[in-house]
Amino acid sequence: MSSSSSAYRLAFERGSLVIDGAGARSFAPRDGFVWDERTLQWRAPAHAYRQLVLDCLDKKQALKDEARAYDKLELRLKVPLEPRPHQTAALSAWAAAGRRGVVQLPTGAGKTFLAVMAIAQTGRPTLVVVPTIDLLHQWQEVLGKFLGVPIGGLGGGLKDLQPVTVSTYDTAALMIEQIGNRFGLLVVDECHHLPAPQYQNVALGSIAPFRLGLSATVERADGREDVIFRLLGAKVYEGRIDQMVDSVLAPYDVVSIEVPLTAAEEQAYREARATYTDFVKRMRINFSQRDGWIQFVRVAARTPGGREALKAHREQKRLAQASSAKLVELWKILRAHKDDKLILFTDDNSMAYRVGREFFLPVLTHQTKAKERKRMLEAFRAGEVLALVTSKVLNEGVDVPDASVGVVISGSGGVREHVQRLGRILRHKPGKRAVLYELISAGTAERFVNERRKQHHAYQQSPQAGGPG
Amino acid sequence: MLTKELLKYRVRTGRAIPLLIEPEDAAARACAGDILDFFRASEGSTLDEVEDAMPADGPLAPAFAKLILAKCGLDDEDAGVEELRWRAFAAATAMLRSGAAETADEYRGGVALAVGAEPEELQAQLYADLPGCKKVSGIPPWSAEDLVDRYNVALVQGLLLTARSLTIDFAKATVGEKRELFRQIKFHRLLCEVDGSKATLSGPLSIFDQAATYGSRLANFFPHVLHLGTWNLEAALTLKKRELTLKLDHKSGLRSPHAKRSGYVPDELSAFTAAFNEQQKGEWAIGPGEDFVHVGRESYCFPDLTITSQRKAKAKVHVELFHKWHKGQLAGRLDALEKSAVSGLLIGVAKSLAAPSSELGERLKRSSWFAQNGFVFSEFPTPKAVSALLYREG
Repeated sequence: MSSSSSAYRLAFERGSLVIDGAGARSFAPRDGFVWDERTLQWRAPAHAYRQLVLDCLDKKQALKDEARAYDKLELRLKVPLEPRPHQTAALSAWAAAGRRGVVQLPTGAGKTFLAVMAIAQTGRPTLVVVPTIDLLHQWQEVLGKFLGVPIGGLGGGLKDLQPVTVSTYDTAALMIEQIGNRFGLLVVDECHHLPAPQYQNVALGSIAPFRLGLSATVERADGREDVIFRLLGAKVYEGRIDQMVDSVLAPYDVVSIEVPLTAAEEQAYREARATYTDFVKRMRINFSQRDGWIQFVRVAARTPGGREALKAHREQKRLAQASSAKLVELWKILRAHKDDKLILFTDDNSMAYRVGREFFLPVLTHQTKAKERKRMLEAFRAGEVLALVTSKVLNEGVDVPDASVGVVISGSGGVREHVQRLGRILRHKPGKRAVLYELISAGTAERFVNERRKQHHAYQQSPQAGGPG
Repeated sequence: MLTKELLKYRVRTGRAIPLLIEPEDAAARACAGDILDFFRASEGSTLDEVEDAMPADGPLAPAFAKLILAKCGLDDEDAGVEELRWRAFAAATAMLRSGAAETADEYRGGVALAVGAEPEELQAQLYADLPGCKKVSGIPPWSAEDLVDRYNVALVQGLLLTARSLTIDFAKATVGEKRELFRQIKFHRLLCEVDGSKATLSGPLSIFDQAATYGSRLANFFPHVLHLGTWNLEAALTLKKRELTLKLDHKSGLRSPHAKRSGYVPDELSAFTAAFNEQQKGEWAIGPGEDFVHVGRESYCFPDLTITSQRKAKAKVHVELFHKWHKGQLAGRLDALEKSAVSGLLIGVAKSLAAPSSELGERLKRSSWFAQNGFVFSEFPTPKAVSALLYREG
């Protein structure tokens, strides 16, 4: 950017951009900038950098750019990567949008490789933001292999800043005030997390003019995907599971298995359910509203009988999700798939550990120490263990390439969770046919939960009922 | 800090009123004492056992327990659980792959036999190193009164997590208290706007709608306000989508859990003060720094010394000293001073910082502000060097 003695001085200050210097008071306000009486400067969130620089170029306005603390970076692929047609299309769409925007691709469709190509083509220092420590390690490994440069890491005990760095969302949110001007490209993996207030800071506080958001499902239950598009750019490409099966993803079946509760379980379930639903009716709580659940918790906290209703809600859910017949069915599935690799999903940690203890299986949750998580994943990839049990940890991103059988022992009604879980078993391999089992306690609310998640197009494939084998 | 579900407050006419425990509330103190006794008696039990047996009576017990647990440790004994677990995994994989077991019970028996344990014993041991299975230790040595004090502070902090800004009136604070307050503002990376004796704290992006929240920084900073003898505070909160105000003052009965930093005066400073006053003989009088000086934007300098003219009673000159460990602060201060037109401030720089070969030395040499208002000292300033500048200032 050109500079002269009458130019505005643009600086990066703790996640924001400030304009001062000669004539700053006469700076014509533009998108994102407001006059800050606290410091007598024009100020904007750092993400306004791109628009400001483009505006100044357009109007031939001199600007002394002291904000940007990075230069171009020569990056070449050390290992050749041949993009598949959908990756080429996604990359072109992203480049045509000015290297900004969100790419939505199902798990297994090669989002990480797409990002590697985008980073190499853009040739700018890059910050990759990921939700978990497992993903941080995985991204470091892939980027190191293909780019052949040292890859920095922030989070999970790592504090190594390099021109290409991978950070967890949490650490990036804490550090963006210091590092937000050091990267020209921001890659946000699993970008549906971005609207959380503390995570928005990562995109707001970075000057990166080039941005790439990646997700299997950008849509959020709270409808706040507009925040993602505002901070990263519009959705530029979408690949759907049903359109990619066979060519990119493994073909698959979804098998729903209803199992009965025992008489004692059923009795306890009915009692707990009645206590809960009576309270909901009495208090006229409407669960079809977006904040229905919050309303319930709020009313329950300050109304007589509310505490019992909350307890009953937890109990009926636990009974349905953890019925003993599910464990019997699970044994049949384990036996039927003794030559495959299975991932067993539960809704919470307590059920995950119950299953782990019942069948002596490795359980991967946020409580698992980093070293042992790595060991579990390696053992699974090497075929040294047959199955991994997890609650939410494996919902996102972690690469378990050979898994071909998923078992949803319990889960939420969320479409995103379903698509993510399905994605874990769909990585393509010649001759592979994946299967996702869903265990549902008959006569309980689990049936409605199951129906809610079936709204997704991925379900239009081949829903079956029955059992393994 | 207390989490959302444990916050007890009332909303009245746009104000959030924390339901603080009165210091003389005997029932609350008794409850705090009971919970502390329970934890002390439970030391050595597992976290799951402690949580299961925790007294749940009364509205305050869960909050007290949370504050204690946050300070406790969990014994991390390695009793070979991980090694046992991996032997069980290997045996389980072999057993499943072989297809030898027809029933789940046969399978469990086979795996346990391979590991050399009973099935139930192996199940109990398999994940015995989870946090819930670890022993609780290091119960804090608080009294019931301490716990009640901590509860009150944590309750206010819980509300401040939703704060957009915080204004503190520190009109009656001593210079030492103000110095410490501003040090903490800087340490917590907050942006400060001072208007008279009021400081409004927020973050750089607080002025934007989509904004970033600085609630956790404001909440962490809050206990330091309690070290001011006299204060009042007003915070703008967004609580459950409602904009509310929180008002508190030194009469709220809140006590900081942090120790107060004392204002240490080095011997050299006392000796210098005495020597200077002796030399000046009534012309000028020197004493400890009297107040802070605004040195542009959000920078505040707390001078080490203030020199007052004895002839013209109102004339004051402040002196700030930079020792060899103040390298970073000196660079920042020079930036601010060169951009603003501050008068009545002298800065003294240790010789080691002003070495001509260093980058900072070069910068000092080029600085016209420093040439007018600065001096270099060896170990400590001499009365002569300071006097020379005073007379140059007139």
